[in-house]
Amino acid sequence: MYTFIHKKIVKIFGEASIFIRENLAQIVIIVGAFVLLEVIQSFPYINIIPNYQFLVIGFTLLLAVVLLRVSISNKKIMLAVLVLLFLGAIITIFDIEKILELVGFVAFVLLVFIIIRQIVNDRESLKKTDSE
Amino acid sequence: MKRRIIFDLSLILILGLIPLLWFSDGKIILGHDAGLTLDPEANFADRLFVWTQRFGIGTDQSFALLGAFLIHGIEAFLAWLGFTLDAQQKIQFVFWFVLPGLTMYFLVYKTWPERRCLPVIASILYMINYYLIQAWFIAERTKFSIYAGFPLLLYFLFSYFLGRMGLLRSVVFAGLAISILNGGGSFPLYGGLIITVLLVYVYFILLHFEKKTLVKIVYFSVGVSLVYLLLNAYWVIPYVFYILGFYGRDLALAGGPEGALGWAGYISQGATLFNLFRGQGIPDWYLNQYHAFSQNFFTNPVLIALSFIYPILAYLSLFFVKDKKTKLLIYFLIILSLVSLVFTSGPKSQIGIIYKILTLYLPGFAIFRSAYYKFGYAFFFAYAILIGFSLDSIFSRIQAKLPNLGIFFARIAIVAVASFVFFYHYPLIDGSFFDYSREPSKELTTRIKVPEYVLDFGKWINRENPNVRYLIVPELSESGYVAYKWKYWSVAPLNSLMSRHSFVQNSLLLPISERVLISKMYQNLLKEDFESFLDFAEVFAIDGIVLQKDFDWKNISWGTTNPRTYEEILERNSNFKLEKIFGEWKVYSIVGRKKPQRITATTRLSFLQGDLKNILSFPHFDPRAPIFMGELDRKNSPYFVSKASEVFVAPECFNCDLKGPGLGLTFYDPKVLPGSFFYPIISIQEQDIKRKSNDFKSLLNYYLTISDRRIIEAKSVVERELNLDHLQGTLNRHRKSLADLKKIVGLKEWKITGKEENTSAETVAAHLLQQATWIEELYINPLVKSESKKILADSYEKVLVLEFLARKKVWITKDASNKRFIFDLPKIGEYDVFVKKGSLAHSGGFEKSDISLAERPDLKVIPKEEIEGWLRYGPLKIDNKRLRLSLTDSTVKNLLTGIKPNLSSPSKGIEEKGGTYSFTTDSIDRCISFNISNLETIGGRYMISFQYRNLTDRKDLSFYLTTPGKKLPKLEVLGTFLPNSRKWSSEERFIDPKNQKVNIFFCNGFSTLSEKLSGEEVSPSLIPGQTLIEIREIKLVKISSPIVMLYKKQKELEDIDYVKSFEKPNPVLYTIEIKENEGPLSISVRESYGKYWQVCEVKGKCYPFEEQSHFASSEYGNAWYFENGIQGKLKIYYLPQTMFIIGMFISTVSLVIIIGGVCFLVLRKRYFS
Repeated sequence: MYTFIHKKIVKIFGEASIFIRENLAQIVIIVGAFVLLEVIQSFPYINIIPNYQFLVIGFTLLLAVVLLRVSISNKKIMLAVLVLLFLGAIITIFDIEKILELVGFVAFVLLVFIIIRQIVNDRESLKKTDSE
Repeated sequence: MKRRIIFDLSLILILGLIPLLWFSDGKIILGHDAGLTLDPEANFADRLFVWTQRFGIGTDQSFALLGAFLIHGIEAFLAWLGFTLDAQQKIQFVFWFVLPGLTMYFLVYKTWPERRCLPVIASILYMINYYLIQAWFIAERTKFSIYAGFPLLLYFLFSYFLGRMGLLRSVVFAGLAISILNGGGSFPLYGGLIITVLLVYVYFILLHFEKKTLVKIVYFSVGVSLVYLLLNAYWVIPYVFYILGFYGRDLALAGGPEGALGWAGYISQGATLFNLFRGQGIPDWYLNQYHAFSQNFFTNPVLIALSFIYPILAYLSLFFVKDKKTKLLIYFLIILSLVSLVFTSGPKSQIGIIYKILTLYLPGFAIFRSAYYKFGYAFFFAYAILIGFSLDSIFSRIQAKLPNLGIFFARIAIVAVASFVFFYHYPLIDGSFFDYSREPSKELTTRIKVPEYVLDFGKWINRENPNVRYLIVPELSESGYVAYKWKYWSVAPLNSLMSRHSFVQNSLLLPISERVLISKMYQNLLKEDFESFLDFAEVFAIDGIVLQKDFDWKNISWGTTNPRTYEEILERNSNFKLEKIFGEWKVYSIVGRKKPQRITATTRLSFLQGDLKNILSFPHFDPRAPIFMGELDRKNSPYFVSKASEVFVAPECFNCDLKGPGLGLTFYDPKVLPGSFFYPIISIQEQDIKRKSNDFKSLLNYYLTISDRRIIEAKSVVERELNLDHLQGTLNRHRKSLADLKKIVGLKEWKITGKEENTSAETVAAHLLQQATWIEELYINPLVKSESKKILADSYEKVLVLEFLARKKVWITKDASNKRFIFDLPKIGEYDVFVKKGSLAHSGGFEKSDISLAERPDLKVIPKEEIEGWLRYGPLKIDNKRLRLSLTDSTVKNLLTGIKPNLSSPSKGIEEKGGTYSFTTDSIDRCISFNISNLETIGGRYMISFQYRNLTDRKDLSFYLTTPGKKLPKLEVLGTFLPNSRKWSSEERFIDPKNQKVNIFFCNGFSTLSEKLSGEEVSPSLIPGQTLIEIREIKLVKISSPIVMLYKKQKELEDIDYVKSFEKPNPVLYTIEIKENEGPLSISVRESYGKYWQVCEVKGKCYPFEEQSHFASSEYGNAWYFENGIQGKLKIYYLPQTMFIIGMFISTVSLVIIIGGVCFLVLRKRYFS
């Protein structure tokens, strides 16, 4: 049992380490963008944008999914949306409104991304269908 | 027909019978915003005309869903067939319940015939969801209509774009579908449809960015629009005519785009992305804490968990979609669900900025202010198909893996889904959603049982002369809600739902000016001022009164006068005669009315400068004569004042109620400061405003605003320590703005009316005082350099001079007895001056009520005689147009004189000496009270004033009012202490009594429980017996608003009505016969003023409606002045009806051509090809 868990942990760390090494540039860009957006939120004219925090999260997520597109498939993102919805069900019972808003927003952003990517991927075949 | 289709349609039809579960015990759906009526035939007949008198004195109803012609047509047809009200509703409800299911079935079945479960599941989900249930509580048939038409339009749209249907067929069928199911012509309901169609276009452009796609879009859009416009011309033409004239006014009434945004924000409170994903977010659920069932969905874990099935199934469709054709549509539906989510959530969601920008900057978008209702159906449409698709895929896979289950599996699965959907929407079982508020004492429902006597009244009134107009009592409260004990509740007056007759009530549906006048009429009746009331009744052509004793008058939110009070007044007064009794309703006629007063013609023409309410009961006033309102139409005033037979000037008393103007300036944080990169934009904007400021008032406003803005900018720069190097420049510009302001404030004569001058001067003075305070603050701020201080000192001087100049122009009432009036005479000359005796504070002691003029200090006149309740001061020759008049109300008296105060027992420590009361340390927690009675509750206003001083540093004088029988809770006394004042300080408090009695309390301190228990009520620092508080000059006076009238007779008057006879064959036409006359002659038609009412002679000559001779009489009615007289037979016609007739002709011909064309093509194809 112990060996199994040990192997599993090593495997996950290994995969994570490979993932980070392969996508280091993208990760730096994403983190950098996030930090930058967080820093500028108190700047004049920026500080009057409503729901700024949500927009930052949405943008970062979108950026992450776009930059790391090779690594995360639509199926996985969809799975993440479903997990979020399940999580949302539990959070709804406890009525934590702010978190629910965030969950809803993240799910929305991910769905937008999925559908855009799906259409981009299938554009050619869709065009054919249309003209058939 | 395939067995499968029979099964599917049977299931849809069975579910369509759900509305039958909602009716029991003879109840029907009525009230709130439900457009259902008690007499569908009369209602339908009324909708054939663009003018209606159902809502009172008459209004243009072009905006009020003329397009719902078919919806109301079905209703009227059922009534015509003889169905009872509840049977009609049952049939209609079943029809509207099942129709969206059928249209959705058509779309999905035609698109995916191979998918066994998808069409029927999508139909069920489209029929049964909380979006529609919310609409069902008011049976919103307009919404059901567009909701049902939506799938049809999309089917033909996609068929065309996918090449399955030709242009002509798709355009004709799409146009027909959306024309018949047109949402009742309610344009805001098209929100979801518009974004969906636009999205389809964008989707296809993205897939095929080529000319062919653009051409297709143009062809389809133009084609469908053309068919739609032709078939809907009957309502579109009058509607466009109305919009061109009234959109600006209606938008302004809704508060402009900002107001629309505020409303959208309010109703979108629960419409978060998360809630919408779950098929929730319905505004009522979150705004109404007494909602019939929403709390279950917030708290019940099972229902919460079940709600997640919706989004999970909807978006799982992305995994199940395999073939290319389906992908195209499923991807589109997912995009539609997400885009419609953005709009449905309104301005409140995290992406609400999109909705905000569109509302603020896209002209016309503000009509979609109820975002959820207007866009939500597109989302539910997408969801219904997506969920259906996922379930169909799951069931197909199961069936493929378990072939033994046979064909019954699909049917069982469909029935199981239908059952789940039905039970998840359990309020459908008993119709509990109709009971939309369960707040104790305010239970509201649209499912009610209408008393038999109400229906009897409806039948009776519909047989009576439609020109007879009734006033409904009791009056509505300020809330405007119409509520009866038997649960009818709405903004729409009940009588508007049962007949086409005119019933006057201070309904929210009337323009505010009419509402104010009608409220005043109710006050006159309640005060038993019959002179004024009967004048009002003549002005509004009211012939009788309907007393409704079943009104819910006691309710805390919409309670009003006890109908019993009205009943007593009507019973004991000989001016009224009981005509009929219908259960709780009584009909009275006004004695002495030989014929309806709707139309009169007279040689008299009155010119009134001032409010209509002030002229009523005036002895020389003839309510039958048309009244030109000088202040409402300044442009034509000189013409009418020269033609008028009598001139009445009823100036408004300024600040008579002593409320104070409240015109000060408050600080705001400017977004862009001097030195900012964006600051030039501010300068450009200011220059633009200056260029547009062409008159005195806007120029004054401009210069004042500029000086305010500069000083606020300077203050912000200093407070935020931002761009401090720009401070000196800003202060310089402030100084310059003051110099500019002086050029205009310093003018001897301001080119505005006296009333405007007074208000503007008060505003300028108040703003400048505030500016002075800010200059003082800036001057002592250490960040301000010496150069800047010099400028500030200079500006300060200028501000003081300007404030003095403005203050000199102010003529305002400052105390209870000295009343001030400022006004412009329409014409100089000799006027007879009157004061309405009943408008003074009290009836006795008026003899010394003198009048003086600021322009003639030597003049002081007192009343010479009393004529029919008016004090006549005699003739006064006036040489200048602008007058500042002062009236001393000598009847004002202290109502506390002679009233002995009640002292707490024991009264030790409370002393009275020469009218000064004092409290010592021996009277802590004790009070003096005055019990006042006989206060005037209808329009009465009183002022309590006194002086007090504290002789210690304690804040221990409590002052409050109570009504008899209502004791102020002990702890609340803590909130009633007056500020400590060691010097004599004055305090004033106003009462607008709702009760005739009031108790005034002055109390000494407050002992806490622990102080009482420990016996340490008196602080050790005080000397026993020491005086703590003194109060003196306690006064209670009634605040009056005297009515002053200046009267000038210009021509000899005769008392003849020149109307020989008149008829009103329909709501838009009067035919009248006028007796011989030589003119001038004035004709009054007592319908709300409508610019397009037109007088025509029988020979055919019509007087252009743009002519000066047509004016708004008495603030609301129509009147025409014919200098050379007019006689014989005349027609008075409401011109927009012609638009309706033209539109109806176009629609009918188009329908015949289109249907004929379709039939021809079908026949040709079948028999000749």
